[in-house]
Amino acid sequence: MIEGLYIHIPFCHQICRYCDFVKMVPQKGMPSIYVEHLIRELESNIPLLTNLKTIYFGGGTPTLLDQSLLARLFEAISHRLNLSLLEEYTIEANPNDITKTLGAMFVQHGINRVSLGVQTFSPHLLTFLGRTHRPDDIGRAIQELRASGIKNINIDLIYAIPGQSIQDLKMDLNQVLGCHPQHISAYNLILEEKTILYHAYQNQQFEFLDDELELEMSDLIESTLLEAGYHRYEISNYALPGYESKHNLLVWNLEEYLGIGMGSHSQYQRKRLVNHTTFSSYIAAIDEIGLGFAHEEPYEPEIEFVMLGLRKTAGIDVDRFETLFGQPIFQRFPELKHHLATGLLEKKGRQLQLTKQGLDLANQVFVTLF
Amino acid sequence: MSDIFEQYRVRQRKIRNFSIIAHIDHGKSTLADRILEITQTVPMRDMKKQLLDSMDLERERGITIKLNSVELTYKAKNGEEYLFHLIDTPGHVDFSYEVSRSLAACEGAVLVVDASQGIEAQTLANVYLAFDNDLAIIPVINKIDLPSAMPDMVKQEINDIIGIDTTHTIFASAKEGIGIEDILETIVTEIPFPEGDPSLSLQALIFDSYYDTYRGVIPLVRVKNGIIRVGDAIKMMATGAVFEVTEIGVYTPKEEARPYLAAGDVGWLAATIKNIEKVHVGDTITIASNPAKTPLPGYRKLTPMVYSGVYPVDADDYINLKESLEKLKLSDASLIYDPETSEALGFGFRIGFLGMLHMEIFQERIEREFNQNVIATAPSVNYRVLLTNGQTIEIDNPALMPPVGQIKTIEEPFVKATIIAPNEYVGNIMELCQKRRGVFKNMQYVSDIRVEISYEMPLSEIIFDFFNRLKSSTKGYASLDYEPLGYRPGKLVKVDILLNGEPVDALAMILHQDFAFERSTKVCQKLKLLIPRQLFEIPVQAAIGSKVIARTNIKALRKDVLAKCYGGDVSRKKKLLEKQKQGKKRMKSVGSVEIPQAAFMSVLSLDNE
Repeated sequence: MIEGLYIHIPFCHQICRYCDFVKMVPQKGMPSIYVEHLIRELESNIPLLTNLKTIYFGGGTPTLLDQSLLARLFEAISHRLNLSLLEEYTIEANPNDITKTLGAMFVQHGINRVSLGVQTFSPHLLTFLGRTHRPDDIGRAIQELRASGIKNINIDLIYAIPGQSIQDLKMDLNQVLGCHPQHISAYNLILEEKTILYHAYQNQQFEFLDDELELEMSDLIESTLLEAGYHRYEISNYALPGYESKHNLLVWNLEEYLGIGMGSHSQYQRKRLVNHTTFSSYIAAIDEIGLGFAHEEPYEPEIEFVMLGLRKTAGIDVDRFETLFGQPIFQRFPELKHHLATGLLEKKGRQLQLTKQGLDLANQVFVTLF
Repeated sequence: MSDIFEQYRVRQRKIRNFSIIAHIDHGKSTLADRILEITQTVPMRDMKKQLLDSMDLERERGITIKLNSVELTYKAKNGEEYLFHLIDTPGHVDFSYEVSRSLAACEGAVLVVDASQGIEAQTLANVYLAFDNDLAIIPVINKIDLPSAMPDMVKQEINDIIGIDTTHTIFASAKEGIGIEDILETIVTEIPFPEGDPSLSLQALIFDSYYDTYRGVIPLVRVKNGIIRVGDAIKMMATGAVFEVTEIGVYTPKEEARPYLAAGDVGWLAATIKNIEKVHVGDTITIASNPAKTPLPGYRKLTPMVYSGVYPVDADDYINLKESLEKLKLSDASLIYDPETSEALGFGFRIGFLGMLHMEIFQERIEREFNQNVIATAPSVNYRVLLTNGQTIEIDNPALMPPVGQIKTIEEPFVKATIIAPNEYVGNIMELCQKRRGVFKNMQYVSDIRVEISYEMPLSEIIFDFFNRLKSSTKGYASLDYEPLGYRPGKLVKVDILLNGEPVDALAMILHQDFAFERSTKVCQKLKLLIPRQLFEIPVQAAIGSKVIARTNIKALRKDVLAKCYGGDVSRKKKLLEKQKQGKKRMKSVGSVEIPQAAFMSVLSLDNE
């Protein structure tokens, strides 16, 4: 049963140097064409969307759409879908796009969670990442969202940015805690292929931080946030109790979700489906069949159950694995046992979990699944 | 008086068997292409560039490594039609044995020299092999169309250095089609027709072979005396094996069946030979019921110069690797191998190679053509070890060197290295050779600006990345050839490499005492770079006996995690992990340490020497 809906808005004012999502700087007229097609794709999928618990607007930058287009989308959703079961309704936002009226409009349409792409408060690091907002935008954005009635706010942080010091990170953490968000995602900067940053790295324009320093940073993040009352519930995610991201938990629990929009992914009926990733092919597909579907990718539930489930600090229930797949987990993946010995995994009752060290070296465990 | 053999004799007088010999890149393959084109052996539309080099690898590297023989007909200016057999030869120093085999099937050779480059060390080596086989030599100065061409000077070089008659020298450009007719005419007039008598008992020389999945071993032969026909029961004179000939033919260059091959002919035969051990290149084929009294005179005995351990990455592939080696040996008679075991790598083979290029080509072929995933250890030469108990043993695997206490002396193979280069690089060359324990022997000018320098050096120094160094210190202008000089004693020591405190036998090396510290340090540093960080810290040490002479540490892996994995990331992250897994699979677990293939070769390319 599909409980999550993801809606992708691929547009950005400027492309961040590290970003490898499906994104583009729109030409005039593109956003309204796109929104009309999104609504058509939504309409085609209505029969699948009767039990939604979460909706998530991601990007790109959803707040790049002007307010009338956003309103059209929000109305299409609230008019056409049954939202009686909806618990969490998130939109990603760029801090400098937030205004009082925008916040009010979110609340008016039922949005109850906003995820802000803050990344860092250091101006020189924001420049390195290619972000357009200034540090002061962030505090102001949060104030205005709160004033509008948004009670659940996430802040995205990036650390281990080339040029970042421990001092820089401490400042970021102080600033974040000063904003009192309910949820914090903290990612170490990952170099993805096909990004501007990757190209710059190939041309030796910068070096990555020493991994000892990176480790020191992730330890600092964890201890600081734990002390402030947050708990780490996934490799990169922290929340105040009760504020864990319900939408993302669907993914990590291998539950079903549907994605609409350019390049969005879906997982339902034992399939992984991917939408067209270019503007023209997506628009053409919607015009033709009303769906953005481009191709299918392998669905390997046993591997995915473990690989996604272990990302959560609570880990996976080994009995549930056996119930779902009819085979004990250590029989299906004997090498997992080896990592109980190396100390990357531990078992607490029925739960198999990554240890503290295992959270930093999770890939060493995950590769054994393949 | 005419007899039943007269028709064969008439035909025999129209046969010309020849090879093209040249230094790499001097244009041999292009010339072969032109000859095929002009004799219209191959229709223009079928022409692939460099037609004779049939293996992909050959075409990619521009090096001919497998022999091929093509039959073509040429109508000469005298109105007569001639039957040419063009036998292709490799052009690299490592393959002098293969060159000698194909030259023994010829009466003449076309010597191709680049009009701007002049004579190179390998040109000389191959010309001397042609002299050994009493071949008629036709000098061709190629690439005369290039602005840098100096054909008259090169002609003078040929006269002075090789000392052959240059009256018939042809100025040519194979690329532009200049001089090709002249070459063909000169082949007719200057290369003698094959001697040999079709009425005598059959003697056919096997000069190459390959394996055909359906028909078994296909030997390529040159008939010296007698006639071979389909249906004949033939006997391999060295192995004594008997087979019935099912098919006979030539290459045009397409395979074409013929009823017979007579004295002077070059071609292939099939005889349902399934046991590859029965066909030895260099052996003589005769008729079982009427055998020749003696086999044809032998080929130059082939001696491997370097040895390397080759192991399957996955131990289960050992039998596959063994079968692949057997098949590969059919097209590479110079390959010599014996089973060996390594504590680190398990069951594998010690393989003898003619040189470093031969080894590289072997590795590429075994991976590409035979799909074998192998680990090769750093190459070694063969050492002669005199023990304190008076016994002498041969060691071609450093790991097997006995303890110091049992050794009286170690002898290593020396070679005479001949280098030809422009005179401005003499200083660099000498510096390099001196560093490699070279003893200066001679220097002479081959032209106003080019010199030939000879050194006596340990072979182990040549295989230690010498050729690449030589190229880089002479901007690529130097050419190298070497020939064995026998064994000489040296102050040599065995250096063990220890990972995590355990010696890894496949990484052991024999080094000269004076270089042991420096090179061991570099090997340790190189291993630190090549071995990925693992869950624990790994000490890397080099030791002579129990004395550690160099060490470093590979720090433990502290962070290896994908920061993000949301709905749109699952498939992509799975692919990344799969890739990481594939990388792990290609590594060899030695004790608790995972070692990538490249690490076993680390000793070979130590930077900033």
